[in-house]
Amino acid sequence: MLADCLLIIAIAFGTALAGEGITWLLVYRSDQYKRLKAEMDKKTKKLEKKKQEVGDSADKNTKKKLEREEERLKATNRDMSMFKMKSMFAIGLAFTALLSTFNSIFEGRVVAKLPFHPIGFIQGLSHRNLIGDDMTDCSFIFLYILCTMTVRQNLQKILGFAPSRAMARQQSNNPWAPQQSQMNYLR
Amino acid sequence: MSSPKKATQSAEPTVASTFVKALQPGSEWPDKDELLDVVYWGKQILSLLVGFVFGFTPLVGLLAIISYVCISSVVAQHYVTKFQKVDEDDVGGFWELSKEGFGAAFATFMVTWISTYTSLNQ
Repeated sequence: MLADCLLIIAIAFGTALAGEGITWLLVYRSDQYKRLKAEMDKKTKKLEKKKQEVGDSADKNTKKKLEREEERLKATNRDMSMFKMKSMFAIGLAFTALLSTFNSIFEGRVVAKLPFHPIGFIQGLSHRNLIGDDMTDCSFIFLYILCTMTVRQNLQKILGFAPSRAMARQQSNNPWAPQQSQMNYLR
Repeated sequence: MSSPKKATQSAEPTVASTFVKALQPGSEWPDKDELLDVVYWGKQILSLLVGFVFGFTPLVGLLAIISYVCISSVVAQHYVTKFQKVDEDDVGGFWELSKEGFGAAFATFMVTWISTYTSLNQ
């Protein structure tokens, strides 16, 4: 079981590395993306600074000005997302196919023993395609998702592909705009 | 041309300089994002350690998960306020500190905990 565990960690590392590599080839290294990212960073920092300077005691005009800048920022963010979307979609498809291949290799195999009893909806993942009632048996997909969560985020941070904190804060102000890079665990 | 002083102030911090600052109590953190980066990587290392210890002990069940969340939040908060002597509100407050890199750190803890536990209970 430990060998399977280590193999899955290696697979997650490999796929995350390949994913980031392909994204770099298709997106991150292009001049247009670099320009959009720099613009986005600059605008976000400027807006944050202005918001801090103004505080709560802003008059109507200043508030309108800030709102306009926020709108411009959203437009740049939209441009960036559109630019990324096509290649991300292609990569997503390729890695979903790869995942289903791995899934069929590990089908019905207990890859690890869970040190806890998973609650209802998690059991659907942690006990997927496994025979028996022992809910502490762990399936490939559960461990793979956990590994991808940790490897992907750390890799992006090390390579400098993670969105800046100022940008993340701006995005988190909008509850309908989750960070896409952090949501694609299955990729 | 900018003066040398200005150039030093605007210089990007290197990994080595940040590491040295992180280990020294009461360091100066003009860029709060740098401190949050230290908290992020600190949480990763802490998660690895806690995962190994819980796996070897072995500590199992929901109690272990709750313990990890508490340890992670309290250690991050104490590191910033007591060790680095930075006002918690300057980095966004207790909630922001607890949230910093929580998803990745929690996944690191889970993978380490599950792998260690599996290796001992095959």
